[in-house]
Amino acid sequence: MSAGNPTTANRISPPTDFPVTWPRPTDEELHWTRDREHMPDPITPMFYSAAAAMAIACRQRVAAAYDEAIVQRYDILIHHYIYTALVPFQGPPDELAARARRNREKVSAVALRLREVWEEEWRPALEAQWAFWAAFDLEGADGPALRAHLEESIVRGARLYELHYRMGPPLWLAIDEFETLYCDLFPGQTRLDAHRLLQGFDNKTLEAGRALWRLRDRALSWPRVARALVETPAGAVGGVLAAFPEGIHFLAELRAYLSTYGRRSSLWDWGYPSWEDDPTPVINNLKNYLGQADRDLEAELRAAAAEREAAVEEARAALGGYPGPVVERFERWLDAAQAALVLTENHTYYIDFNGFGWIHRVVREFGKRLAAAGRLDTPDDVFYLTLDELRALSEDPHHDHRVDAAARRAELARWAQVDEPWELGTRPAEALYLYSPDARRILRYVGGRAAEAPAPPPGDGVLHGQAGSSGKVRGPARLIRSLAESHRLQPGDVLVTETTAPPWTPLFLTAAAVVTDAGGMLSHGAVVSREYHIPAVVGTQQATALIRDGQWVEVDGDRGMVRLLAA
Amino acid sequence: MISWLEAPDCQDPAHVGGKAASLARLAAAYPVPAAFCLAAMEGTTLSPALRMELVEAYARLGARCGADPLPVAVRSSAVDEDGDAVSFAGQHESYLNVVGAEAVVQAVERCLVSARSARAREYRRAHGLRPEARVAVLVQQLVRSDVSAVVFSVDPRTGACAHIVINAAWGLGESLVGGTVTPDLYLVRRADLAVISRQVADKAVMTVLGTAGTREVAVPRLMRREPALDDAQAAALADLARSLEAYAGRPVDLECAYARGRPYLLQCRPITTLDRGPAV
Repeated sequence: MSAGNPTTANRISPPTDFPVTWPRPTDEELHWTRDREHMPDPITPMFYSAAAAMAIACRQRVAAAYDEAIVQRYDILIHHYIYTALVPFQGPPDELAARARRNREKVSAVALRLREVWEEEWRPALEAQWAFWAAFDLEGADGPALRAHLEESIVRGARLYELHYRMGPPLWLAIDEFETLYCDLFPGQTRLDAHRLLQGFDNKTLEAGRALWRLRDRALSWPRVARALVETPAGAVGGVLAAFPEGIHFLAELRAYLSTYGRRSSLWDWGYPSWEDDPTPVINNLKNYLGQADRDLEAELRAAAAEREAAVEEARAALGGYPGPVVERFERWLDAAQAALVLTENHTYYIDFNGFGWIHRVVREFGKRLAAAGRLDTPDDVFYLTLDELRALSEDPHHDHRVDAAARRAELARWAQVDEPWELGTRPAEALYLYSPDARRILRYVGGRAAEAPAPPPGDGVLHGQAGSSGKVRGPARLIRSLAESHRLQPGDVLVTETTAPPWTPLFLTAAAVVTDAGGMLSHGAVVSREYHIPAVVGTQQATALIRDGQWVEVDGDRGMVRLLAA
Repeated sequence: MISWLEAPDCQDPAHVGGKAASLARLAAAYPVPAAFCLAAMEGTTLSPALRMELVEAYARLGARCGADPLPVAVRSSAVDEDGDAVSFAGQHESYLNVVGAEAVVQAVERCLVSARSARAREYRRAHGLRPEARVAVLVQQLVRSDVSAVVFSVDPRTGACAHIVINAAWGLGESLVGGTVTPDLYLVRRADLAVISRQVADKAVMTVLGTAGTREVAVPRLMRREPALDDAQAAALADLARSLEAYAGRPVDLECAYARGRPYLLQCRPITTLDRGPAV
């Protein structure tokens, strides 16, 4: 393994607009890659520093508990982008093999009990954390109480991370085992076909989608409200609606929606504004929905479930003459994978988004007070400080944090314009196919550059990615870089974006298809596209670079291809 | 003309042929799948009366085994087959996973026809037997085998008798007996039925039941290197072999199956190819 013995021939030269100064000379010998699925944008200082405080120890603890083969994961910030290096476990082959076996046993043991573990351990633990935050009166707390609450929140945030790391491996194993078993039993079928037996179970993402569609129906019941939503720019909608009674009723319903589903930012970096802070993404979705025909989302979910049951029955009938042990394994992993797929969506609701959304709220409360005291220009500037700077604020009353916040905002805005490289450092001599089957699964399901070379430019105007959701559709591409501009998406458009997260999935009720740069088959973009029966191609690496806004494309979800049609 | 396996007349090889008679003798004391036999006859077609008897017997067999329609194996059993000196193995037709009365009738008639085939006649001539056989047909419950095993009551490679040798694989016996799968190998000590050696193979294929007939399919990769038998099952099969060897008075080779946790004896033959080398 060449990690400790790099050759300069594999050294990656950073592009001229992205010069790199390595903190330590040895850093350059590692292979650093970007996680564009989760962190496509420059990282806010608050998110990065808080995540570092909460996540690192947990990650190591859980990796040890599962006997994970990866010894070290390093993160580094370069021009405000997170790069990650994974250094595989070094050791004699038989020791690695033994460790891989133990890892598999430990993860399988959980994978085969997912419903039980969720009900008895994970969900109660998560709900206890939520209850803690929900019970605290943020606005009424005095300075010392708020400071103490911040520290307690960091401790509890670490527990959220720990649960997150605990859940990942068994979820992926369950789905991987089922997909593999299915493809082994039914030659000619693909992993995407296996997912037909997993679809149509309700999850928090779909629930949020239905709640938003109901808001649309409510708006339509008041024509003046509907008109206001359609005709007014998102930022001014609140003011316009507050001027008449139905508008006020609607605003109350909107607030109720936001208090359940809006305590989250649009992507994983919760340093960016939440929907509660700025409901523009929600308003934009409503604008999109109001132009569309009525839709019965409950009925669509029931139809997806019926399709699933038919596929399961078909598989069972085909296995009728098979040995009992084979059928037993099929049923066992089918059940595990069905439970797992629901949890791949639900854990993001409980942890990544609406979970860490509580911490966003706490930090923003500091921001509000600091802005009121003139120590910050706006409440959101607090996310451009680090956690330690926030902690030290009271000891440092004369330091002008407005300057720091402004400078960092400007920096992040500047670097957001740059196409940062996928990888830096040194490419290993052999493909970094990690010893951990778990890591391989992550790469397949969520996408990642650690094991693959960057995609070649498309030949014949065809982009290749992973098959995310079945179907073929043609339409104009709509490049959406953030939810602030999501109102540009029209029915029939093909949503093209770097990555999607659960908060983006309401757009899937408008889009005809989804194409992303990042991600894999278990990315939210793929999973939710399948539930909404729209084609999706994920992990193309370069869709946003090569497809022009408005250009007609053909998305072939089964083959993972996007054809660029004559513009 | 129908003879049930547990009836005394089914133990008469002149009445039901060698294969059915041996099975009938075994069925008295061992877990042989339920069956009946169409007694040995000449000619190749069934009279309407005989056809009706056959259909009724098939229905009764299905009721006994709790399946309707019951998947069965239909095999010829020639009078003077499976005698000591000659093994007719592979010479006559057998049909696996025949389902439904009509299909059973057709399979029976095909068995009768194949016994008259040129190849069968030639085989008989070459072994000094009468050219025309009287052929019975065995209709037996087809076990949906989870695991198939071939058990030798002595080591067929060396003649050593301190241990019993078992080869096992997933699914029905065809892949195992036909040699398309590399099976697990278990050695069980004769004296105390302890499993003294276990070589789990990469079992790449298995025979499964189709809607009719059988087919060979790939074993899912997560099961290829899993042991097909646990120690208790291996010991039980070894015990069966020990017992049958005593019954037969000489070393035997068994074809067995496990289905839904129960062992079945499908066939028992003396080991005809044993090289009687020095005892170990």
